[in-house]
Amino acid sequence: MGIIKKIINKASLRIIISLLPFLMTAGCQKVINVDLNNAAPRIVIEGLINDRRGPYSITLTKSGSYFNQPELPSVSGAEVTITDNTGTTDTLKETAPGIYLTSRTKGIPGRTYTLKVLSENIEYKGTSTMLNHVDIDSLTLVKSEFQRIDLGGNNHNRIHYEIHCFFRDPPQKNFYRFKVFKNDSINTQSYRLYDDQYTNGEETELRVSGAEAGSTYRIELQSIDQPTYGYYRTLSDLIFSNPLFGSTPANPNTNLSNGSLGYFGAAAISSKTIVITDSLINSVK
Amino acid sequence: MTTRICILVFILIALFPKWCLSEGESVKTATISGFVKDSRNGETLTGAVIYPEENPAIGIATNSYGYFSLTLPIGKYSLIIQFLGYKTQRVPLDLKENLQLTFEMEEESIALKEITITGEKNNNNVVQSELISKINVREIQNIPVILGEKDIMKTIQLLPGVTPAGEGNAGFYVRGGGVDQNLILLDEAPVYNPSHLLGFFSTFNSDAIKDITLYKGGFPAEYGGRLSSVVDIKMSEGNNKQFHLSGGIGIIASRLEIEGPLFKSKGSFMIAARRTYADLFLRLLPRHGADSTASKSTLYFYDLNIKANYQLSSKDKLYFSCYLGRDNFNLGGALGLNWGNVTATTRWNHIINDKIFSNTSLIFNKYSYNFNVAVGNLTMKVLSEIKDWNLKEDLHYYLNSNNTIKFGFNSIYHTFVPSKVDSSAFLRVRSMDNRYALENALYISNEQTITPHIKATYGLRYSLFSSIGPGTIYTYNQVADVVDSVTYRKGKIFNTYGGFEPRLLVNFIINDSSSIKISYARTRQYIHLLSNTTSTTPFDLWVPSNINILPEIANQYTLGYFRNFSNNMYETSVELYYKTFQNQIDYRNGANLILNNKVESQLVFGKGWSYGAEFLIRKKYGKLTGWISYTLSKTKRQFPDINNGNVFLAKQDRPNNLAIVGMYELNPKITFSATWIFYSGNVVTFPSGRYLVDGNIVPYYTERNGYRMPDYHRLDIGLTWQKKKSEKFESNWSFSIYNVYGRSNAYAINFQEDPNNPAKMQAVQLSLFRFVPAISYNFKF
Repeated sequence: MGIIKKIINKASLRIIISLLPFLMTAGCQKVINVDLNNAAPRIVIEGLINDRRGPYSITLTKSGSYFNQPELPSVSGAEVTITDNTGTTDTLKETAPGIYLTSRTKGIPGRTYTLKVLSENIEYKGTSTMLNHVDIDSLTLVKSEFQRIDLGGNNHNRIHYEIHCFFRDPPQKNFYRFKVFKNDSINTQSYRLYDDQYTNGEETELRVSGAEAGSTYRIELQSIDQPTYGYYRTLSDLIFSNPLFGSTPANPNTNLSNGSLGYFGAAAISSKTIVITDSLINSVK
Repeated sequence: MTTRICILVFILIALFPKWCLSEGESVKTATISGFVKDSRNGETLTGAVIYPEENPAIGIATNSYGYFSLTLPIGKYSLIIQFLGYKTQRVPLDLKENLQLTFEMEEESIALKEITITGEKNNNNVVQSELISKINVREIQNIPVILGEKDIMKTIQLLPGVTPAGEGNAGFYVRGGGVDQNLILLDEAPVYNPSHLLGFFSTFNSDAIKDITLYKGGFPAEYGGRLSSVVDIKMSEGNNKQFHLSGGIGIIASRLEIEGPLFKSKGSFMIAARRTYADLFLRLLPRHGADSTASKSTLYFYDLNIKANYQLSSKDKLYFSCYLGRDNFNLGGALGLNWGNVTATTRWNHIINDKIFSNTSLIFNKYSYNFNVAVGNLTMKVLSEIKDWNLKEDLHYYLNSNNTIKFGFNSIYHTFVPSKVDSSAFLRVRSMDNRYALENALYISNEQTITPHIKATYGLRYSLFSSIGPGTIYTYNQVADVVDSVTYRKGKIFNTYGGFEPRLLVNFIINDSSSIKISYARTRQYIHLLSNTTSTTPFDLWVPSNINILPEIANQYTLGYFRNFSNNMYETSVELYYKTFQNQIDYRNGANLILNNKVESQLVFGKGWSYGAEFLIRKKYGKLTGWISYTLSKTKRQFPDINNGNVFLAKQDRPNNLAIVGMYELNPKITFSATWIFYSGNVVTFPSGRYLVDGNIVPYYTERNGYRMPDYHRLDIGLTWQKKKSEKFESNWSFSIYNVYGRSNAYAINFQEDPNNPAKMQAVQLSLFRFVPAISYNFKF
């Protein structure tokens, strides 16, 4: 669904952009001073456990003033525990300021995990269920044409390569987040999220465009639960949507209690790697 | 409570007509009926007033077809017929029996304007039991506008109680109501999206428009279906005496209009067309590359207005009017978007007898958009539309000189096609289900002169809205998941909402030049516009009420003082209003409204209220004309699911709103004009902190709409230079400058990382339209 929204927003944006020159609006941007209130700092809890080997970390920080605080403070000395639905509790250890590591927990699909954080006498709680582990079946390279047309109608089509990633969606309701690592670094400028509402139980395909020769790509598939998906989606809408067409902004939908910011999730993770060699490129038509 | 009192008063009057007929039946009466027309072109005049000089209190105004009927005791009278901008007529009359008369009014020449005003009684705004703002297109032709395109919708926004939704947005808010709560009628046909080019222009070509009437409160019972206002726009009828060709050439569009008689002056027609040439500018962009697709890029809009009428007999007249407008945007075949409205109205005026006038209308209207994308091998085509078939019957019964009863019904069959999708399988996009509904209403009202000092218009409307199959209705839980669904077969009425809408307006006439008017109106709205963005886009979606969306209801109370000075040269008024809103619509956090078949699950519901004071001073005659309007107001909303359930300021909230409009006629050739607008900035949600998640800086919000953008203000000036004016040919040049002092008004304020220091955030203001000059040439044969 996100892709469609993006296409449509882009369409509206392009119309406005194309209007601007002919309207002769000396439309302009300038940096202005906005006097923002300083909200009382709030705790920010962030943590995602998975079904790979631990330890997993939970990070505790605090929110700060919007404009004037380069470093956001970390929260030390909190009591942090993760309990699963079989009753196993793991008390996390603070190994660096604000970073708490698990010692015993290893995520198991099907279990429900509850995070409890006690800090400054306030208890925050969040629950997440680890859904099915879904394997990536294959990654293939496909040659494609990238279409770009400027306002004069000139065509600037360019050949490019796409990585097509295939996986079989299980019959239940599933939600995914994909991460694409190029030579082990990730582009954080977007969230790739997928909801199986139209493809439940089917062989499903994800396309990553702009693959470059000589690079190694690792695609990570995270199977997440609905609240975690909902958090990522509202977070992504908030920080990456175009402000001209965006809706009234609001804090992302968190699964944490007591006014804490951030989220706690449990994901089953699988990944696959593809190396884009010259011979691979020559082999695709 | 108020409802009950209203109904009671209404029943009392219905049951005891004798009270209404207090004139006494022993006196023999006769009825004068007929039409008031413009002598120059034969067009009927709406709102012209006819009264006997001997008893000015029992005057009557012509209805929207120019018809009147006045019953008087037999005797000798001097009948006065007057209409603003026309020479007042005095007709001596020896009334013995029923008479049919047609009055042809002569337009006042400029020189006469200053002489004839003395002794005139142009005080309709004071003495009539109505709350309207009427704008004649001729009056506004000198008001400067952006890019020289005259725009009645922009002029409306200069009136008190009406605030623009924002720059580059054709929408407007009336007394705290949403953009979709305005009923915009073009020759009785609702226009669902009255904007071109994403809201920079309205769909109404002012060459084709006769007049426009705005109702903000005290709504007559014949209007319904929207909560906050009625904008009733009448197209010109065409000249039934002579052929005329007129037009204009502006910097973004050209216009052409032709009008003339049909069938030996038994009818007339008018055709007006307008087209922009923005795409010609696109073609000027450099072309390169062998496979240039420049010829396929388009960007334009056009409007076509057609109207014709034919006098079948002395008692029957047929009208046909049609509007067609479309915006077209295409980027080399890869991206295509076009949208527009179609309306068609057929009306039959029939005079049943001297006292009963009937109008029957059959109306079709449609708004639709097409959206096509083709990126590589991925294609998607989306069609969306809302269309109505609408049957309307209005009867005006001129019972006697003190009572005019109006009654009738309205039946609308709505078809909603939210999106019909044809796309590559990979995109997995599905069409949304169509929805069908029937909206019915019955009304009756009476306009009564109770005493020479008290006039009242009271009425009752009953509206019903039925959802009709086929359709699948889902029920949702608190977190927007489907818990159940029911599918209905074709033609099955599966859900009905309805209710009374009492309307009351009482005018206490203190004297000829001052009065106090109070009003109450309840309105119900069954169709709603979903738009989760800050700007208007063609993708905004109309949805009907059903089990998931309750009808919106508003109650409005107004109190106004109206006072004219210097022989009605100056009109002033102060109006107070208080309005409550029920079942208002907002969106869940992260709502997805686009191509979502379960879009209802994305909505949350709440209530609202607004109150304010509106001030108006208007100068109607003389070398200098114009008005000053000022509104002080507050608009709030409360939703259990938004802002932690706390009350917040609605996006419509604009505490201060001021408009000054002036036109100065230096000499018969040159007219200067200027408008200055000032209003409080939009309320916005800004962050009050920030934090880090997943390596991203995330803004932290504590309150919805807790901040306000900078105040908006702007001065526009214009000059009209009448080049030539004779019977055969006239022409003028018009020059204007929009935003003369180049104020950078905030269109949007965004927060982003400082490019020079990514750890630091900064606020960036985007402004449009600083200092836009325009020139246009207009002519008429």
